[in-house]
Amino acid sequence: MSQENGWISLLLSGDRKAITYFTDNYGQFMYHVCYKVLLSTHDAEEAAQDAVLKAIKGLDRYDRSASLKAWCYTIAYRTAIDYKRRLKPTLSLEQSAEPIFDSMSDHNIQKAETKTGIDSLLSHLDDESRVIVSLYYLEEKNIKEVVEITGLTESNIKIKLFRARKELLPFATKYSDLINYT
Amino acid sequence: MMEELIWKYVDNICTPDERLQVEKLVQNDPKFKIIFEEIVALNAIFAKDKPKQMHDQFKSTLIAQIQNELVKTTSKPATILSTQWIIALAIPAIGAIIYALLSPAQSPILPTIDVPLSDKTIEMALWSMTGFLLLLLADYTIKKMHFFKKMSHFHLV
Repeated sequence: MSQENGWISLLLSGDRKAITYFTDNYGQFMYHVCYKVLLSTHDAEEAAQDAVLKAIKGLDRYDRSASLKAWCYTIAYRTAIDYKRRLKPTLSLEQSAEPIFDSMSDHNIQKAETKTGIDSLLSHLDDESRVIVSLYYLEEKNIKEVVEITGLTESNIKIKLFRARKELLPFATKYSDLINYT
Repeated sequence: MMEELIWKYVDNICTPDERLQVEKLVQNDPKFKIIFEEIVALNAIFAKDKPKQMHDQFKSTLIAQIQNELVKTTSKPATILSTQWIIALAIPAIGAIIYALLSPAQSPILPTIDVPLSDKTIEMALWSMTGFLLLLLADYTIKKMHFFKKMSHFHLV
């Protein structure tokens, strides 16, 4: 933790290496969270930019005994959700949270899936579940790490994970073929 | 229940007994085997999910924006007086001016206090005003010095 405090102080003093370190690790992570909520590179960039600057602005007020990753996650997730709310009236099909299987032919599904792959499958889930599933696999199924990042309880995460994966199970074979095909 | 058991198996968090149970069911129960294969397939899809990487151009822009933000944020100076202190000191100072300039009978703020204005009172009011103005000046100077120091640091970086 003291090591982390050291580079945060350097970051706050404008040290270029510390800024790059923050961007590569925490900025990258915040971008990933924003992307998983918004499922669009352009929107994720805008939201992540906003979130990262919010984090920088608040860094001097951040409680250094707490996890920086969790703090960054909270900012990124909330910023992305706010961004999505503002964006909602103009959501494109790719960005829509509505399952695309219901309204598309197999041919169109294949076209859409080859474009967005796993994210199309994840788009069947609500925002929070999508991020949790993604974090769970990103953290190599370390549930304690997901608990620390999200601030949710272990049982809550287990329930959300189970429900989310159950919801996606009917699509498993189809998506598996498409993803293997691409 | 069946699905939960399979997910525990796939996540590698099941007990040795549960593991044996799953392996037996896969061999002997065709319905169980179908669900098992679906879950394994879904798990394989998730396992392919990689962190979404930023484009290099976006990363460069982000770094530049962080630097700009830090110039702004860290340029917030160390101050002698916080806003609260300035307000707290300003109120009695303004009161002192009003008291010094107007006789109690004419004062809109202190109409009921009937204390004659002496030279000593005026002197005290003026001294407190001078002190307050000096504090404000010192505060402003420190802010300016801090800003220029930060600016030169960022230019060097």
